[in-house]
Amino acid sequence: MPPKPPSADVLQGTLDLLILKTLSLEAMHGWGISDRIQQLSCNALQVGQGSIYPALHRLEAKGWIEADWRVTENNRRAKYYLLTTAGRRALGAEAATWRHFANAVDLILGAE
Amino acid sequence: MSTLLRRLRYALRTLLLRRLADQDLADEVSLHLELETERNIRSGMAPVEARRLARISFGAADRFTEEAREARGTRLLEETWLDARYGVRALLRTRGYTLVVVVTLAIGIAGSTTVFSVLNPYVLRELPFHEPSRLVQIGQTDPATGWTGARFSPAMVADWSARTRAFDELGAYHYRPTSLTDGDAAERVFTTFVSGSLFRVLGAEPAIGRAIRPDDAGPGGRNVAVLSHALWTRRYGADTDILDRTLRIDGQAYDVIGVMPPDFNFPWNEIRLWLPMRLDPATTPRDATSSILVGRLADGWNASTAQKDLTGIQRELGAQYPDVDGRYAGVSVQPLRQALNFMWPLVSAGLMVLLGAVTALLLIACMNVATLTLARASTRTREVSVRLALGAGRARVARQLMTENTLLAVTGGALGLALAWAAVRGLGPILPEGLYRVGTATIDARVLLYAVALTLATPLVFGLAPALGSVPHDLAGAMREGSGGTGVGRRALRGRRVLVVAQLALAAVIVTSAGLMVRSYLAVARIDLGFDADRLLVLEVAPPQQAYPEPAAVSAYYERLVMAASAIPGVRAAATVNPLPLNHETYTAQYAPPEGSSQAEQWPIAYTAAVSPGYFDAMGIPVLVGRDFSGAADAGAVIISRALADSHWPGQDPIGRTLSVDPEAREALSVIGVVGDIRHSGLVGETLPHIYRYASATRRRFVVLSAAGAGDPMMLAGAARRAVAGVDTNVPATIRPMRDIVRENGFQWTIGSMALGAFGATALLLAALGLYGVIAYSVSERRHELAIRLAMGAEAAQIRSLVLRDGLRLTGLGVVVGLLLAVIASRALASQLVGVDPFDPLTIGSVLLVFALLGVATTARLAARAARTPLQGLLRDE
Repeated sequence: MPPKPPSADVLQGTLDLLILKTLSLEAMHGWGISDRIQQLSCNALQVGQGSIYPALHRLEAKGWIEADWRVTENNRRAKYYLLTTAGRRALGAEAATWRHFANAVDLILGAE
Repeated sequence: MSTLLRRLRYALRTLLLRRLADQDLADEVSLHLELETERNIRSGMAPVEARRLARISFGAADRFTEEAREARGTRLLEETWLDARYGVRALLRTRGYTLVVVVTLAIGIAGSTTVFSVLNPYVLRELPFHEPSRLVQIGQTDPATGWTGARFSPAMVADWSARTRAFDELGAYHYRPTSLTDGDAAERVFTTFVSGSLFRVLGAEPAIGRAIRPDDAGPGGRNVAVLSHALWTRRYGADTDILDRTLRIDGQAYDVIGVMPPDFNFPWNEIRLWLPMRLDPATTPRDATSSILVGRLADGWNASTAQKDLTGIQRELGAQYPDVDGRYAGVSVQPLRQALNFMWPLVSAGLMVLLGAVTALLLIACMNVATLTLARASTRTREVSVRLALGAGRARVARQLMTENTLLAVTGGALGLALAWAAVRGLGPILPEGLYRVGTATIDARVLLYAVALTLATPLVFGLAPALGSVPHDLAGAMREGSGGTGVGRRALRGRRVLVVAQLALAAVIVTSAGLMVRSYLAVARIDLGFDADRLLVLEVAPPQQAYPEPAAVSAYYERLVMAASAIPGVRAAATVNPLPLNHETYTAQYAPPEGSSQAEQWPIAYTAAVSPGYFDAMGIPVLVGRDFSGAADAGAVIISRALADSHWPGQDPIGRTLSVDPEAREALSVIGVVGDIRHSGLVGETLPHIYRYASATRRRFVVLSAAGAGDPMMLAGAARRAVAGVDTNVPATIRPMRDIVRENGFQWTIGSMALGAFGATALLLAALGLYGVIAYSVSERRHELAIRLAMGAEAAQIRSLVLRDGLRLTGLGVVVGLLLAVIASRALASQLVGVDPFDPLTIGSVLLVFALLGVATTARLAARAARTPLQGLLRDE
């Protein structure tokens, strides 16, 4: 049984981070990003897939990712997202923040 | 691309192509579901099952779609855009309301903006110099007698500069017309002669070349000239090689060293040329006070501390030179902005009155719109209630109403700005040149900001209360149609009645002010000038130094000119005078009172003027006793005005008596004639007696021609110009009718009464509209009551008088409040009034009459209609 999904706010922040990381490897559309996150986390994170869309649009409004409508291999019109320069910088910052946070939590949990 | 730009593009795209963006989002989601379904199919599920699982994995599609839309971060803007579009449709549905409101607001904003844009150059704009708040003009005062002296001699300026600590630097200047005679056309040009330090004191930089420096001024300096931008473009075609040119000014050669920028303006608009002063402190007598003194305050000094510093210096110098510096005990330090505008107190007060009136007009307009909005709101109660019931937040509904109001305000504001622009352009030609101003009356950034601020403030003033009030608490009650009993209806009526009374009151204030101003204008037009201005043509000439070096030559020139002018057919008489009355130039002198020689400080003061024989005849000034000057033999004689004769020799014959003029000149001048009094410095206000002397050898004089017939004296202008050219082609002349000069003096009453009259008429119209609206609304609210009365046997006349009384009651209340307000406001107006006092019964009576007529005219039709209220339909309505 997969662990219970964490609360919404933590989720929102980490979801942004995951999206940015995924896009840093290659440009993708929404389903692709959701699929990749599931794969890479070995299905550990199972929130409603649809939650990715508010996150994507928020990131787009912030200017961290930008959209590019392309045609897929199957000749379908899809909205691909790419990381922008600002987004790349933000990824670094957010990742550092996350690591810092995770270490802090580890320390606390590790203390007996 | 920078992040900011990207975000901006995203926001714009989302706003403008909202439907497209929504469609794209839907496409994204459906593609996602398809791909997930396909993957499920590939892992072996049946299509129906695959699709179902895909949907479940996705989660609540609607919720996520909504969240994605909100995540765009443009919700507020999107909603406002929707509100705006809805508002436009709603406003177009009620075209009449929209039109009335937009026009009303446009009038209010146009009036306010126009007045403000005139206020701007005359009163508000800063001098275009470096740190203008540190520039002051210095004068001398005598606290005991109240006399002021504005002129200083070079020696005095040098002493003050050396001793003062309060100033970085002092500068001096004087002005007169000169003749510019290079090239083809000779031209008279107003010129200012400046000390070497003046341009530095002002901190004004030329656009081309350099300004006048200390080594240019004084006895040994080079002849250099600085041109105004207007002169450079007009006479020299903006020639870029101007710096190499030599001009002939008053017969001497001057090298052009610079051109000032277009907005440079010192000491007033018509000055076209700046030349260095040649006065030598060493050789010029100390009492030859010719120059005006300005200074730049040093760091840490202000006007009052500087005044103390200078008073101390004045005292020292007064002890040293009791006859020159000692004549004044005090010193005045005035901000340069005010000193340059010699009509400052009157002009600024006058313009402030206009601004007050036009703001009141705008308020009336806003109130009109507020009542209309209230009326509209109460008819939309049902629609609003339905929206509230459907779940719209109260704030959202109020916001939508405010958006409508803002749309109206912005449209009205734009229209008003266009009207103001046209008005300002129309006003341009009639504003007088003689008043100092910084730039012209235009719609510049400051005026635009003012207009925009007004436009955005008006929906708050007229829209907020009705918008909030129209969102009712009792939904069920509000949804039921019907009048009489719903809280919104009753509240609206009371609110409207209060507003109408306020409107009428403000209108009464404006109309009263307009009436008083019109009466002042008429009084000013009727003022007895003491001379016959309508027949006079004025020529202003200045024979140049080079051609007429000796005073005798100057006198001879003028004698020839007067003879040539007298010979023109249609000219009854011609003579010279200096200075010209009502031309903003005054020479005064102290004279020894015949009753013993008292202290020189206590000698009374009179205007002095130098005239040629025949002056009084030409001007139409009666010679009451004695005779006019006849020729050079009368050089030692004076002619006095009646006021002087009456104050010193009442009831006696002043002919043959003697006067001394100026404590210096000990010569006794004998009185040979007494003439009528005239207005010399301004049409109203205090005046002094006149002492006339036989024309001296002043270079600059005015020639006055009196036309023989009753026609326009300007018809003689061509012949006059030829006469001047006939005497000497190198002396240019400026020709104006005396009427124009007199009119300039009355400008503020002309403008004031025109403007207040226009505002008053508009205010009456708007107030009448407001009154009509309220009475109509009140009648419709009371129609059941009226129907019942009629059914019970009331006569039509009784119903009519009921309605009329209501209308007159509101009008009366408004007028009474308005007159009380006018009493309070009269203090501001008092300084502008001539020949009428603020509580003038004739004016107040007229105002009451006008408003009574207004009340009756507005209400009569409604009263007649009310008396014919049909009965059956109403009673069934219940």
